[in-house]
Amino acid sequence: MNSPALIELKAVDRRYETGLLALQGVDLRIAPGEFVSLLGPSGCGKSSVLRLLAGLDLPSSGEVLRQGAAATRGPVRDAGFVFQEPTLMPWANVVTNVELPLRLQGMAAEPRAAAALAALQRVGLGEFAEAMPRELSGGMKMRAAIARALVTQPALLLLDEPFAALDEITRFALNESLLSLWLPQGEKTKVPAFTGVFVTHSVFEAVFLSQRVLVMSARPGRIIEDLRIEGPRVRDASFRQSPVFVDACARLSDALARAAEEPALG
Amino acid sequence: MSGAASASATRREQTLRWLLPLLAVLLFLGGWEAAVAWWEIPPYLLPAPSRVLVTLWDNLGSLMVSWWVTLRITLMALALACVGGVGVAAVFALSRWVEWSLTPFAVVLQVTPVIAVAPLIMILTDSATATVLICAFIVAFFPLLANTLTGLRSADAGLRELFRLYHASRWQTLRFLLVPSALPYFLSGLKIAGGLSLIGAVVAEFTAGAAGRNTGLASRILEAAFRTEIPKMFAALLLVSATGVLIHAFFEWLSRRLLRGWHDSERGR
Repeated sequence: MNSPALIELKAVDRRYETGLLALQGVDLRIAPGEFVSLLGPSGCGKSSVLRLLAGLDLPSSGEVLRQGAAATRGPVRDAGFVFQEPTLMPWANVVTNVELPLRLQGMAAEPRAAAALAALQRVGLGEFAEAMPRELSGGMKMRAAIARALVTQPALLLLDEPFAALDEITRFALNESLLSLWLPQGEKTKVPAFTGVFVTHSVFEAVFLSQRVLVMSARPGRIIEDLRIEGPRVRDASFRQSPVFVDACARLSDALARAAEEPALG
Repeated sequence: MSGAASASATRREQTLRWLLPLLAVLLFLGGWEAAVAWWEIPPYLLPAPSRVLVTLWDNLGSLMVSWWVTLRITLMALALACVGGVGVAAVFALSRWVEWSLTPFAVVLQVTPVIAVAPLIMILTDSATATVLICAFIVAFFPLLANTLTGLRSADAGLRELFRLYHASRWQTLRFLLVPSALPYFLSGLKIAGGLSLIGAVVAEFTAGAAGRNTGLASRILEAAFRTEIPKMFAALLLVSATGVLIHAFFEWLSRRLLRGWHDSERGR
């Protein structure tokens, strides 16, 4: 934990105009290249944390630091975003959807299309570049959304319960794909392609994906557990049967049960 | 086997889709023709369809001149209403204050019967053509404004957020998000406004009551009524209806062409 943090939250409170205290005393450090999950019951403020990390919101008190400097208002550059819904433009085909961030940056048409195709190939949708979104299954739409988030090759990828609406099999497959995108297979250096922050309420998903899982309590949201997931960084489906996985799931399920019980102080 | 059976059922349904309305219309016209012949109804009360067609053919020259006048005014009014409706909708979408200030005017324009305003416009403009054009514009304007505004507002909230996250400029948001989102609504406004502008053009001409050469189909209808040339009246009416059907069919086709492949309203058609 001595490497400089990519993003840091220090004693962050967030009270909304309605008086609702969403976050209380949240401390959080994310190092470059880490894959961190935020786990917690519904309404615990996971998404509030993600909005702070994305620069869509500022804390009521406390500090948000980006690479050591105080954050300013406005969405962070050099980040990719995946929401709960795939939010694809229904009138445009898949490749046009994926190249949107580059188009908004003003990149010329040819390199833009090439980058979008490359991103689609990485998520396994290379053959569906010309398809319309409604022709895709739920899982494929989400793959397209991930390709769109990665097309700018961002340093930070923020994911807000992206697989919550998918069936278990599709979700497992997408978890594996996401991991191989984070740590590209077959490369000797094994440098993560991005820093990942993943919001979820699924214990299994959090453990499978993450090097570190943060558990948040019910409102007002606080971080009540910070668990490092041991085991290999390069994981495949077999990791789900390993003792490390089972053990971490048990501990986190416990923490999650506590999180839901925590009396609300706000 | 069941697949083949259901495919042939679909094909039969597709055939019925155009065959049934065609048969119904033919049956109606045949019945009309027979009734006129059977009861010997005089043509100044109710002309037979065949007689209407013959009259149309005999008067084709003068009727086509009038038809062109009406059609030109209808299309000009529609074009102006498109520009005005979309322009005002864009301004409203950008500024709530402007919308709050100007909405009463738009509503008054919409709810006041255009035929009641026509004499006033006639006095102000002192031109029958201008009066007809303005009236047709007024009736076509509101559906385009209202639909385009709804369309601009209907852009998906998730996509709006996405555009904000990627620092899209106002222009980029308009071009890549708001315009495509508004398109289906605009097109359905266009279908309504197309029919309305024709109605406006005909109705206003009744009031403007211009005589002389450059007059539209409404004048032909009035003229025929004064002279009790009922078959000619029917012929002019037929042209008005046919024009309305054509306008509607054109925008229907345009909408299908532009929205096919992505919008729910044109799926599976």
